[in-house]
Amino acid sequence: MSARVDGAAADAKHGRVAQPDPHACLLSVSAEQRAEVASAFVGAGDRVVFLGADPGWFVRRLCEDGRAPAYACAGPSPCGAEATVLSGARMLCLYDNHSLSGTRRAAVLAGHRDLLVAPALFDDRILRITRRGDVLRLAGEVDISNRHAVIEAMRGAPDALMIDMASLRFIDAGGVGAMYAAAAGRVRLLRPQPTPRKVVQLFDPTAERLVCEGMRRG
Amino acid sequence: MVDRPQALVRTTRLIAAFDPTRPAELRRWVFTNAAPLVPDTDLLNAVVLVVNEAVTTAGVTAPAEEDIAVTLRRGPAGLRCEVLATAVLPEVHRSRLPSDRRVRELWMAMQVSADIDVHIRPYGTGSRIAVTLLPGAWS
Repeated sequence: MSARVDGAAADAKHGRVAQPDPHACLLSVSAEQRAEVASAFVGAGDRVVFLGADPGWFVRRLCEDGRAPAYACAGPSPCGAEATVLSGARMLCLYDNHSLSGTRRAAVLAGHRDLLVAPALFDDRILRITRRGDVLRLAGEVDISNRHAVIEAMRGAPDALMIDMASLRFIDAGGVGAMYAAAAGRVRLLRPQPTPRKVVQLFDPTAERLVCEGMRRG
Repeated sequence: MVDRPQALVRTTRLIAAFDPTRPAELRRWVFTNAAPLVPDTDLLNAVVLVVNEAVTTAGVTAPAEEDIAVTLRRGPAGLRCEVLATAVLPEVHRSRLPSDRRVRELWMAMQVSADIDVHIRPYGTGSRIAVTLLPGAWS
């Protein structure tokens, strides 16, 4: 991973980057979602300037996506956002939705032209399913009301499927059973939290189809 | 004499009804009301899982769509959650895979923690599923 800093970046470091007007914002609900959307926002070959306290997560995500970052640096955000990504002539301000009060949220929305919404295969506010390459990411809770969406997402995915379960707080036995039935081959379940991991290992103790990898504390 | 938390010295009983096809609200309710008594997060999550399965089982075996009544008792005798099912369901034993498929997911959930007991008893024309976390499990 390497992040080069040029003149524009140096200007950004001193708060002298011109602010495209109007520009977009994202009110994210998780760091994963923030990184996902910020990465998708950057076009191939774009010159990128990152304003914020820690560009590391953003640069890492670009590298994971196979796109070497052109430029990245730390600096103050003109809009007071937690982080801002400047890509070509486009600008995206990222906010943590949980930390915004009602009036602050209204002010943020009024100060930006677009509100970006992270693309999701499914989102019922209980469970959110996103896909990046061969990895499906489940965030929230899987139960009888939404397990059908997990099955559909798995069926539309490639054979060598990985499911990132780090942000999945809950899955019931029926949900695991449905995943087991839908698995075309062996499915790698990445970083499951303790209780979901136990349910998976009770259902498939020999890891015939559902293979847990890594551990995430709840 | 040792001071005990307030939640342990008096018994409280809470009753609510939940849509079994959308059990997220039930989980929130159990988590919130059991948390003062069960400081261990993994154990608390296991309780939530088992009660979730009990309500889901009651829902899928009911002859018609209906809300499921849940009673939660917490006190010196531990934590007990009772779920009323319309259907007549067989008893589950921790060490035996039930032959009746309707209660297999509930049986699987009770395997997650040895501190949680599940009993199914006849109740009126249906069944009562009792989920118990014995006192001392969290100490």
